[in-house]
Amino acid sequence: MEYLIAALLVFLALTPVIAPFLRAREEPPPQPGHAELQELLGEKQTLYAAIKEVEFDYQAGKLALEDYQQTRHSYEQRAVALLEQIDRLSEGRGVKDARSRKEQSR
Amino acid sequence: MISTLGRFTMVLALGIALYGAIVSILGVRRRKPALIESGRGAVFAVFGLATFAVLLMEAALVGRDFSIQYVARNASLGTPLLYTVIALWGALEGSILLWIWILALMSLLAVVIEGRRNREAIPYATAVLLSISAFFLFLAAFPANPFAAIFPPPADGRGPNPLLQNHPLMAIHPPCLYAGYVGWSVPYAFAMAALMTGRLGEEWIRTVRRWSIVAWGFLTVGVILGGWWSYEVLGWGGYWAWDPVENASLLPWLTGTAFLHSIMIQERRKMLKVWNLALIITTFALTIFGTFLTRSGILSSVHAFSESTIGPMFLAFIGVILLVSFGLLVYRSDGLKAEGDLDSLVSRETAFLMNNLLLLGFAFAVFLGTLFPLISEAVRGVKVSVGEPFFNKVNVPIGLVLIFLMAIGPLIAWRRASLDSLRRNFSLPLLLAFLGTGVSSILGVRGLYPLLAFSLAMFAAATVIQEFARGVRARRQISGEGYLTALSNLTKRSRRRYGGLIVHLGVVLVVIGITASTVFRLEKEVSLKRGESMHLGRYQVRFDDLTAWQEAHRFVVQGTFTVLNANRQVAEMRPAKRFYPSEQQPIGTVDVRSTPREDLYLILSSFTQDGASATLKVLIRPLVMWIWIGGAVMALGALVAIWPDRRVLVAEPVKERVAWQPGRS
Repeated sequence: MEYLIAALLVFLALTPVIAPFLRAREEPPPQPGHAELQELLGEKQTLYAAIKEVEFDYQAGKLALEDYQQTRHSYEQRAVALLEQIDRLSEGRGVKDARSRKEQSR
Repeated sequence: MISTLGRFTMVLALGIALYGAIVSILGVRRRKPALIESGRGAVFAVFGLATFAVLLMEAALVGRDFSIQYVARNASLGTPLLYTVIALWGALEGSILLWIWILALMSLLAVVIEGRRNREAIPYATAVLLSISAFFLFLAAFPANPFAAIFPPPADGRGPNPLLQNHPLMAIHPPCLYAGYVGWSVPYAFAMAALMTGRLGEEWIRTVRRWSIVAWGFLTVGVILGGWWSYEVLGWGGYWAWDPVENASLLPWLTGTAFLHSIMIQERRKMLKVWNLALIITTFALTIFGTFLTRSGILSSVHAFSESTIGPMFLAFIGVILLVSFGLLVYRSDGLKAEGDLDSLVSRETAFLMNNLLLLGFAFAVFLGTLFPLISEAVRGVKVSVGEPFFNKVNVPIGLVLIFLMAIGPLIAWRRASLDSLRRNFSLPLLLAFLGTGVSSILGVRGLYPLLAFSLAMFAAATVIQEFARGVRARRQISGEGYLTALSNLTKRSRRRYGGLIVHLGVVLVVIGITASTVFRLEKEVSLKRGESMHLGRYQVRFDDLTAWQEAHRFVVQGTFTVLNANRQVAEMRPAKRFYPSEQQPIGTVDVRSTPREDLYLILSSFTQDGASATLKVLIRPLVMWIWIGGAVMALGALVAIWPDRRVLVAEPVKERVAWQPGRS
């Protein structure tokens, strides 16, 4: 009985470890540039949230006009640079083409 | 059979964990997806095996299989079922098994949740997580085997440590604390993955942010529950004694809290990159240090397990962690240069930076005080402990400045704040703080620190409430929502920010509870004959009766006391002493009457054989309940902060379209 349970345990434990070698199709590893693009898009999201936050803080009366304008300006400058970088990288990966094709088909 | 199968499971899991760690790295280096997938499969397998091992141990405990040494030491025929089940984490070997299971679960969740989003980092993170698992599996397979057999098996076991079967909080405090400790493995693994891949931008920060809050939340709950357990069970009327094991749980909490603040500076200003990585490494190393302190027997503590031989292994493991992690950090230091500077001293960055330095200072003082007996032994050959006075003297002022920074941090603008912004944000909270100081003084608070604690707590609470109130007002102006809808949407749209503010509110409650229960504490110890009363504060406590009876696993002597307030009975309280066969000293069981205003705490110190008289210690500790409520509020804040945002879940990062253009709002 002990040996049977042990054998079953080995079988069950090794199944998820061995299964990937038996699969016909393998998911390709991430393409070069994928991580950079994700990084930039994530950063863009953070920046976008920061701009919305500073806008909201100003509307809530938390920020003086001077502070609001200064902070927003600095975020916008960063955002412009970031979007340019994203565009360059997207062009390189053909993502932009795919996006415009998708938009045309709408 | 359980012994053999259990040991076999541990060895098998160890082998698979090592295999998984190796193939994950090989797979990504050689660009072989099958190897990476196989490493991922190892995480599933280790989780399955750890679950099986835990179930085996539970079967042995509940089945009272005394042929297993662990069961013979930690269970008995008379132990109630609940305490038999939770005996799994009542001693060293079982606690390591629980640790392994929680780590396996966290690893599985990390691999499943982050697998798609972080395809480049995940194999490295998997390798790190499996390596950590391998260390603990090695302990469980060899020096701390929970499945070790004993022959001949005894007819009955010794039962759990009486202190561990005296309160149901033992069912949740250790698992929460372990989840808090183990939880830091995930952020650490992704930090290491970032260092290994060289992807040192903000992506790893975004990944670990949520995992860090999860770990921090569990650690917070674990620490607070530990205090509560200590208060209810140890019978000295306190909840924190600066005991080495308590301190060990506070250390990663402090550095983890610092990390949660400093990552915001990296996100916003691309600064403190090295600092953040160093903090996450330190926090993780401190979680292992905490387990080392608890399990090595190097320092005496009421919370520690018995002495064992695994202490040096933990030290070696900590050494390897620090060497490899900081080695990688130095190796990658070129890619970790700050891309921004501090623009002004009056900015949120500065407040967070100060907060970080103080949290680290606090942690260093706790670390030094905890290890002082070892340091003094090494230098002078005598173990000298530093007690509560040292910790209070050093940490109370730091704590007060931290509350001040906690209050001002979220209100100051990033980069720089003008005088006008400062005036807008701080006028009302400052006014309330001054009022609060006046009220505290009138209520009898004396001394600089208590007055400062109350006024700063008031100040911090006012800033949080003001933040919510302004947010709600702005939303109502923009969208015309009702108050509750505006509050709900406000929180939903910026969960992390408002979750953080809720945490701050919880901290305020904890500070108020600690200060009030310390400053206004009353206590008295008297011997009473039956029918006699004593007075303390607004209470009269009358000794009515003393009864004794035998239970399956212990002998109980219990006093009955009637509590009156203004001649009206408000409670009947029953502190007791419990005599366990395995213990020479009886275990005191306090009775606590908790109300939001104060706790009445009764300890049966001693009694005469004939039951005619009893010595009773009575304590009144105001606002203690608010410490536990504060802990719950902190946990709620953490939950709000990590709650998945549907809008983010819908957005597929790579495919998403540009939603915002500069100049357009």
